[in-house]
Amino acid sequence: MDEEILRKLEVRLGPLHAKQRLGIERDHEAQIFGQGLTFFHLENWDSGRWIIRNVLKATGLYWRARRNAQRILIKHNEVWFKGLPPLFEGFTILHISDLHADMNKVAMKSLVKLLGDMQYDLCVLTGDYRGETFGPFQAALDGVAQVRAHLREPIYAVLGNHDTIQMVPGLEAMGIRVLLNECEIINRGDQQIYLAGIDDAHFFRVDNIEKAAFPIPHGEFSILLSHTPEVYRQAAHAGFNLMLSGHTHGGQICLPGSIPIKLEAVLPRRMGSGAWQYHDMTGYTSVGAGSSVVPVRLNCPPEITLHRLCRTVT
Amino acid sequence: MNKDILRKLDERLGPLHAKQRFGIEQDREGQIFGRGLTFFHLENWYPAPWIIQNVLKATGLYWRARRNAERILVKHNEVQLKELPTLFDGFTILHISDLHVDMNEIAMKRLIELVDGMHYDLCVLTGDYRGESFGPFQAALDGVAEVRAHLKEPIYGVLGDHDTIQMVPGLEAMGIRVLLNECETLVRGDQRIYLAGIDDAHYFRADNIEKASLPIPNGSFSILLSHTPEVYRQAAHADFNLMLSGHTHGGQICLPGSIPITLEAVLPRRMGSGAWQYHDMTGYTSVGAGSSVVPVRLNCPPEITLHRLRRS
Repeated sequence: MDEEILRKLEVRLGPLHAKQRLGIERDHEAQIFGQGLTFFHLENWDSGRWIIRNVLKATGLYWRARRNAQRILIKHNEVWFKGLPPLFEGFTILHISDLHADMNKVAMKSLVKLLGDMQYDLCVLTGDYRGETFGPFQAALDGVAQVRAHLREPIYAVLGNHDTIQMVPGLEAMGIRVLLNECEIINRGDQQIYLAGIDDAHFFRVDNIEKAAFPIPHGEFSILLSHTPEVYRQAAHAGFNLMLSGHTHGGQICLPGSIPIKLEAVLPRRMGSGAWQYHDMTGYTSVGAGSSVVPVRLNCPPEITLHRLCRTVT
Repeated sequence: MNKDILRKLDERLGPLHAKQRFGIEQDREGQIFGRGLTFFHLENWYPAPWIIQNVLKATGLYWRARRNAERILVKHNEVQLKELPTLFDGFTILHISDLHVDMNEIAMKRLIELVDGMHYDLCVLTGDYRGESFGPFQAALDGVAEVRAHLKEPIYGVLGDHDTIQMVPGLEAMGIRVLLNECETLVRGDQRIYLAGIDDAHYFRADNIEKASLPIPNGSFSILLSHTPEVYRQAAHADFNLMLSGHTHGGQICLPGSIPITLEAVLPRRMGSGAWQYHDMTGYTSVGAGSSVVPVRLNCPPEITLHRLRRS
């Protein structure tokens, strides 16, 4: 990594975060290219691709599954809150997750068409811009840039387990503010809500909710962006009102009735896709706009989501 | 939880940590006693002790396995460290882990015999004082107090996945300083080393290495106490020189050749017990002094460990 990038991140995040993240990234690459895999990660298992592709071809589902992965749906999610400041009534968040931009080129084109003149107040990206979990990242950045050109600011993002922290300067140069255990204030008139984001909690475990939540005054309305919803317990007990996530792909290849075969997450199944509730926190797990391992989907169409925040009148 | 305990912890740790930890603890109790188990955790699975006990009885191994669990070994681990300050050469740490004190009474008596008169400069306890992972904790505190009476200060501890944060005031009242994502300085003459400890990273995920290591100046010699060794990547890349852990019990019930059946951890097998190395960090995973689920052990005797730090 460019020493300059590391130095800048250290100034911004403190001495530890970028160093830890980058160290674990290097170990991960070494495992894949050198020492062999210690643990089983489907997305890094080359024969996995071959098997999935050929099972689908043998059962005649392959081309349908390919087409499915290119047909992105727009989902609408209305979320009701008691504590929402009145000026944020109707505030709309466009939520895009798991682009895996460099391995879903056709899907990205259909995404750009959908974005056209969509109306929203804030755009959030919940990680996994890259197809692979290792290796080069420029193609992913180029893919994101093409989508970015059709998005309106403000745009906030977090990194996923497929992303390297080396992508941060590239993303921020495009006007995507990456939240690395950080928090920003969104203002409307004299009222505000807080938007925090954590670094990947699934593979890298460099999430720090405590640090991200630090600037949020007690009782203020707050949203957490986390690539994986697996930290739902920590987020709910940190007092967040809303958590937006991705990561699971809703299973990507599902049985009829959208029943996932595997979620790649330690998570109650009800949190695997769509809206859910845990204590006082509302959550939403996007099944993602892109697909990984093989760009196919069955019984689990890709999505982008428009969350509309509404104030419950008591 | 006593409001007073929570308030005191808030003052010490900031507004979030104790609240998060305690919230997740209450959810777990709710899961076990109310909504049924969402995930499989062997230690909370009601028929597991019955099955293990009866399989061992049927194979004639039960009483041997019970006796094994009571025969604690003293292991000696010499650690060669380049960065160790000269005055700490020979510094000896008594490392006791996974007491599960309320379900290992005979083992605890044996432990007391072993530690009496032992020579060491520092004692560390790497979590899991309680037998169960939920419910009452006074019996565990009483058991720890009996062991504590035979230990020499300074004593530092961290919490494990079987412990509640409500035990902290009790432990600290006995003179065991619990490190909750905190760091202390150990001084010898004009030299110092840093001892940090994190809250449980296995079940509660209330660990915060970044916060714990914040007071450590760049390049200083530092030790991390973590109940579970599963955070070895995060610890090594945070520049700790030595990490002391427990949690795995080394498998507790092992095949001949000490091969564990399950480690209850997402961890390379070589880190499941004893000394290991990861990048520039030296690690040690104690198999623990107590046993859990059923107080039996096979091919995996319980241990306490004397780490002797040597400057290389």
